[in-house]
Amino acid sequence: MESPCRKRGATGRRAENTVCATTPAGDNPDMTVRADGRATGGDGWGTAAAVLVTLLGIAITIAFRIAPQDSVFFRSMPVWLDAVGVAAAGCVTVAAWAARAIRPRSVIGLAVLSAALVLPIGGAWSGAPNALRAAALAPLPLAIAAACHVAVGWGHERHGRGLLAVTYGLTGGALVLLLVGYDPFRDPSCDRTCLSAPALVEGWLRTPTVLATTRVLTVCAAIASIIGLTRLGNAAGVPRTLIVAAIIAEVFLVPGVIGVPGGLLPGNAFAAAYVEALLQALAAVAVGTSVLVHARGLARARAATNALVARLADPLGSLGPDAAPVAAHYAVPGEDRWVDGAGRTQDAVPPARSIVITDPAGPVARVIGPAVDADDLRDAFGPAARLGLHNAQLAAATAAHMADLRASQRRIVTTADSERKRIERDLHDGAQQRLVSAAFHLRLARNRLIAHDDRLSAVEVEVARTLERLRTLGNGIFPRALAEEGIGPALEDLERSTELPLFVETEGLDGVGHDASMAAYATVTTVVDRARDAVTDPSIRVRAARDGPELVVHISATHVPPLDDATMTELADRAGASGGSMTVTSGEGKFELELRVPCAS
Amino acid sequence: MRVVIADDVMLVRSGLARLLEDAGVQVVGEAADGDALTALVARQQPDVAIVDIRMPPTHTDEGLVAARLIRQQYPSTAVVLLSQYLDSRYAQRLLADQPVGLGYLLKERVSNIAVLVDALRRVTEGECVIDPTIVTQLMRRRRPGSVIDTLTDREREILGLMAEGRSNAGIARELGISERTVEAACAQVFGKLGLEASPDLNRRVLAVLTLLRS
Repeated sequence: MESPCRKRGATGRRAENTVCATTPAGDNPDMTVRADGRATGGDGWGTAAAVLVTLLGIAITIAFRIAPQDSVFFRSMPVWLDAVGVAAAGCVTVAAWAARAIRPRSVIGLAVLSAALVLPIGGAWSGAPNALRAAALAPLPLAIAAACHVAVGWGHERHGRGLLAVTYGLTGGALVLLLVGYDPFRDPSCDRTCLSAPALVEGWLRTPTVLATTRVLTVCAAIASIIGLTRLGNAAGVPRTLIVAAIIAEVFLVPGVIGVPGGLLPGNAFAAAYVEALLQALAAVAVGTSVLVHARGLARARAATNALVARLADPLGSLGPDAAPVAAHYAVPGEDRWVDGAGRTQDAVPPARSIVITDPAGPVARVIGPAVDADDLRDAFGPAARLGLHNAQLAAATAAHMADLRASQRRIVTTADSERKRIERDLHDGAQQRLVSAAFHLRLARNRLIAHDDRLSAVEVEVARTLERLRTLGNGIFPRALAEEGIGPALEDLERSTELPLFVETEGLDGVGHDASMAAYATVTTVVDRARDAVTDPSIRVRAARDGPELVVHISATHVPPLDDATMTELADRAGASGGSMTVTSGEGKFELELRVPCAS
Repeated sequence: MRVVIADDVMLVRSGLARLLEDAGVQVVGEAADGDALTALVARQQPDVAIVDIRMPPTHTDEGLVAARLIRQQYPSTAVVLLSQYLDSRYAQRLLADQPVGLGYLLKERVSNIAVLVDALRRVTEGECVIDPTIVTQLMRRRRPGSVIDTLTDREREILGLMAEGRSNAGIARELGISERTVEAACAQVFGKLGLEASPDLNRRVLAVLTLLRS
């Protein structure tokens, strides 16, 4: 069975953008494919049973052929029936094998079917006790339920349970009746094995009654099964061909159970038995063939899915080792630029060195490398790889946009920082200097005065206070030590200038970039500022050190009120802008903050 | 006493010059940056150069560089550094290097001209003078295990006042104790800091140096 979507992109020179990821129609209701492509589940026992039983049937038939013993039936059996029987057995065996890992429940149905059909053949063996030979004839009605089982077992597990219960219940009842109350010798329609095997409950049930009842039960089971199968609906996930095959099989199986009247067919005394055997074989062929076809379809779908998964993972790798490209770049949709897989913007490449893969929406990717032939490349890009390529393009474009976003975030932080720097400079060069000179002139004026003036002294004190305030304010807005000497001295300055118990420990902070330093300093000062609102004696321990390419600042704050959400977001944003991260863990009256920022930023 | 003033802000420079002249200090020149200052010192050979730490072109440590140069090339010229900020790192670096004849004051303190004049006098005598705010910081932040830890609170207080450039009499006045007590305490401090008997002035500078380096 072919998917309606099997045209390959490679057949045309124009890049084909149709992607066929669908599997044969109607299949695949509950298949799960693992990474290695093998289906989950699987029932080895069902397969083994089906295979064994059908092989046993073939063996029994061959044995009877070689040594017919006392079975007149086998002695006079036409050769074509052998061929049909072996074909049917082979068909069921191969179907059970093909569906072993795909539909284990259907395989169990096949096993039951072959057992129900093969065991009665075994009943012809004169070497076995009569009771056992009679019992071997009993399972035949189960074949009706088994055919139904094969079809229902293909679909979703929750569908058709009632149907199976009814058919197995009815045919099982027939089986039990045949086991306990059937004496082949007393069966007027007996055609193959008509030995005398007194039934277990001979006194209660007469063989004709048993036969009549089992026939009614079997026919009821067949009718119920046919009605049930036709009403199964699409939701059950059973392919229509399988339903039709099961119905045909059931119709073919019924005559064998109820017995074809010998008078209908002239000639050979066993003609009716041969017809029954032929119909049973055809029933097995119908079910087996339909299972085989669908199992093969599913297996193909799985193989295609696995190939798709493999190509999605590495679309350009599927070009093969000989044509391995040097690099692959992806086009950012809606922008005139190329990025690599990690989203980094790439420079222009001479057209001679690259092959651009396009689709109607525009360029998708370009492969750069001397060993790649444009036609080979297009041929290599089947629909699956193309889907993978689009996937890779989207991933690269997303990475590029993330990088843009981070850069913009960093620009915002940098702008804010330089603005603070400017304000601090203005404060220092403007207000502070003027105030200092004002203080000088005030003092000069006071020196000129002969009488002491309290008001002038008060103004002087006020100016001195304002200067002190300006000094601390300026440092708070932008610490000069940070820009001039780096994070280590800036933190030590902070430790010296704050009146709070702040303990700073720094280690090997060479080469820590400006952004990382700013993020670290802002975080520490935020916690220190927060500590001013503490009720009980706060204490802050800061450890700043390099951990490989990262600056790690660990702050342990005791009795410091927790940071509010807005502040945390601001600090985390600042860290994030430099590609870093911040984690806060809080406990009893204490919180720990860890900041990790790449030094190079 | 002859001094030169280096500050890039003209208002500050002229205000300071007039204040000093009022206080009887002779201002023999003004400079707006480090290069002009060294040229001025070379020409005038003043007793003290009053230098703003931050001057053009980068407004970082030009004054500091100039101060170091002056102390090396013109040992007879003392230097008082002025700063708008609490640049204690700069001061510490310079003073820990060569504390003799160096002072460091916050600009805002200088409007009390008496403080500045006192500092000028002390640095010309070879002492070192450190702004009280910085001394407070130094006393507050000590590396664990420092020799300063072996001092008692009172001894640390005295060492701090010493660093500010106070004389024994000044310290006695500040703490409300007798001068003899101060002398005894100073001897204790010198002993604990491992400073051998030598001229008092030298030992005072060394003690401050220990504080700066702690």
